Amino acid sequence: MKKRNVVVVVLVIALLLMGSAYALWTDSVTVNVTAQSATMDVLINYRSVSVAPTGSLPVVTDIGTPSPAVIDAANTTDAVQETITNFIPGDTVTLTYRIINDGTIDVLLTGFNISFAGTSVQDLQADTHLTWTMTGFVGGLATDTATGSGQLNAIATTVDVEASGAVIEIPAGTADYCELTLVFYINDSTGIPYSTVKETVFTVEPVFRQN
Amino acid sequence: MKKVAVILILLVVLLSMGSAYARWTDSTSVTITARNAIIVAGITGRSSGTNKINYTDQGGAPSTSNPYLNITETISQFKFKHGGANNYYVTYTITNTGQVPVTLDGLSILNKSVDYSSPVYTDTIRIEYSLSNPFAGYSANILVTDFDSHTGVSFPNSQNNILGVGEYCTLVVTYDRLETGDKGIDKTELTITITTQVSCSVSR
Repeated sequence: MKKRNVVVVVLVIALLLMGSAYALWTDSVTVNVTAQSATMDVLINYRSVSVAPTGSLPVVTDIGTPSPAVIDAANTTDAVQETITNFIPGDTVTLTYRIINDGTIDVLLTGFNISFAGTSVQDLQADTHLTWTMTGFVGGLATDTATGSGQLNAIATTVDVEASGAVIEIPAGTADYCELTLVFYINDSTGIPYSTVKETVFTVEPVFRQN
Repeated sequence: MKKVAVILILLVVLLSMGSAYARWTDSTSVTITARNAIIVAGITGRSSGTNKINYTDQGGAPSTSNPYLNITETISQFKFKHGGANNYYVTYTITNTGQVPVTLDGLSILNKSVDYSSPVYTDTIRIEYSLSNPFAGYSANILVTDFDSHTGVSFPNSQNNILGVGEYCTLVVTYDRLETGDKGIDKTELTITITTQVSCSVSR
């Protein structure tokens, strides 16, 4: 009997230990994860253009219809294409764009890239000058401003706004925005060969990063 | 615990991927195509008083459909007789064939040469430019007496010398000799080749 009792006790203990081990290996911790990716959506919702003509010429530089043709709060875009013809030396063209943050994370303007398309139609490049201004608006009031200028072929590929000390932040979910103003002119005051078409194509790309 | 750690790592990776994706794919750009106006005043007509002066053809005679930006004239056997009055002249019509009004700044000499066939004092070669703009009521006369150092002329008071689009002016270029050379040379001959370019700028 004693032996049987001992065996029973041992078995009970063994079973209890097995149950504990089973519980140890099958127990789990449940973590409920809701993964939601952030979006960065930087858009242009305003565009304006003006031309300061040279002297009293009866003609002025022509600014074509941009693409897209309409840019406003209801017609935002992430890219604009402009065409300027009869770019008269001495005339000044000012293009202004309003950049908003339509994403879910704050963004910080760090500068912009300027790049030329190809090399075969850059006759005007050396004669083109650009002055740029980037201004952050918070609550409708201008805060930080970064500006610079130069001859286009002398401007570095990337203009680093942060390096100039300006910090232009556009928080998400606000009406804050950044205004990019491009003022450019050409200084070619000499006659050019009749058959030569002088033109240049360049892209200005504001550079943002998550703040 | 291991599972918790794995899940947390995966969560961080997922969030990092989302951030990186947004950072690298979003952009705003403005592309600008700029083309400048054609600014040119060219020679659209030419006549000379003698066949001793010939121009180098550039795909047909100068005209509004074929304006010359520069023109090369060769004066053959430019004769000088002491006491004579041999001069040679060329009349040009200069038209604004561009897209905007311009001022006619002047003329520049791209090339020139003198082929001497007999002794001559080159500094006695004289060129006279006579410009007349009927639209602006402008005229100018410029006399050049030093052919060797002649690099071009600038028209004075150019602000009033505006050529509207399609408007023209007349330029008469007269080649002559001053009678200050070697009077002992009764007759001499030489060949002058000169390339002249019209220069203009946007009226400001």
